[in-house]
Amino acid sequence: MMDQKDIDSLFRLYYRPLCLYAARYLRDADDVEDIVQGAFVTFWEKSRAGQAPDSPKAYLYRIVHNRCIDALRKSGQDAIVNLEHLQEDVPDEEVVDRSFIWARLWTAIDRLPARRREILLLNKRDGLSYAEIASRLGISESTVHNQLTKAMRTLRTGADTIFFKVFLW
Amino acid sequence: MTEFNEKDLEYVARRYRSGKYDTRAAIRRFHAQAGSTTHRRWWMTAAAAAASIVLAFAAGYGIHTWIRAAEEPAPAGQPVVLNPDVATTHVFVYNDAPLDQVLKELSAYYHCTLKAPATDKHLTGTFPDDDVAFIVSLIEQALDIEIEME
Repeated sequence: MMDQKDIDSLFRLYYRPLCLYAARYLRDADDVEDIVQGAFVTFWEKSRAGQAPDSPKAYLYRIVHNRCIDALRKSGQDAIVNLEHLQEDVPDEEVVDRSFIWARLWTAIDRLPARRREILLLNKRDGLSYAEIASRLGISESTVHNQLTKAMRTLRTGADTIFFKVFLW
Repeated sequence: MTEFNEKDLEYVARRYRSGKYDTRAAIRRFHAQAGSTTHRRWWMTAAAAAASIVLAFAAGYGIHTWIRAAEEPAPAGQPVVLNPDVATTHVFVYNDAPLDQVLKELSAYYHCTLKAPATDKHLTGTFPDDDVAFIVSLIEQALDIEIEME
């Protein structure tokens, strides 16, 4: 029988990847969280009823996928509609794999110092140039460049986020 | 784990909102929503707290012996426990721990299978427990190995 520890582990493994998966379909982050949360509740109830799915991962992704499509059909233009995806009945494996990379990136961005994160987002999200960022924030272009370089290094290595030392024996 | 590309970064940056998709908050919300069936009894929480206090004292007195003992190869089939109170502290602490033991512990905690080629590399570091993919990618980069996750 599934207990609290098991369901907590599933959250730690899949919650953020599932959110980033659903965020491909839905624009509103609250809608995304409601759907993912709801999928866990359904999974939990099924497990309690003695019908635990063989693969929690496949089951959770499938529910989230279907409910995103339902939500898209209902809401129409509020969401990011992509007809190509609407025709799929099952989650796209490649996107499922990708969602783990997105979740990791999200975590790394979340842990950047606030100012550095802002600069990164202005560049990658809003497409602003170094000069535009510099004038908006009242800092020099070389500072923008330095901060972005550091941010990218952190995202690639995770080195700045967590104290880390390795012994090679 | 596959490296991210520029498109991945753009995808995440466009959707990023500080404080959203917070795993720990989601777990709390889930237990509030799913009701008492998932709640720990109060005495279980108290027992866990008492146990971690005892452990904290024990660690203060004999952390070196404890780590040494933990580093002895575990008998086959026995679960490896380097961080017995991680459910309370939400942090994994490794001090020069052999990689295979680290992977065994993480596998048991997250109910998955983490595999790496045989190596005698050791790991030192502190990781929050809310994101297994992130921990795995850090270990991969630091030790320059591939870890398989199933």
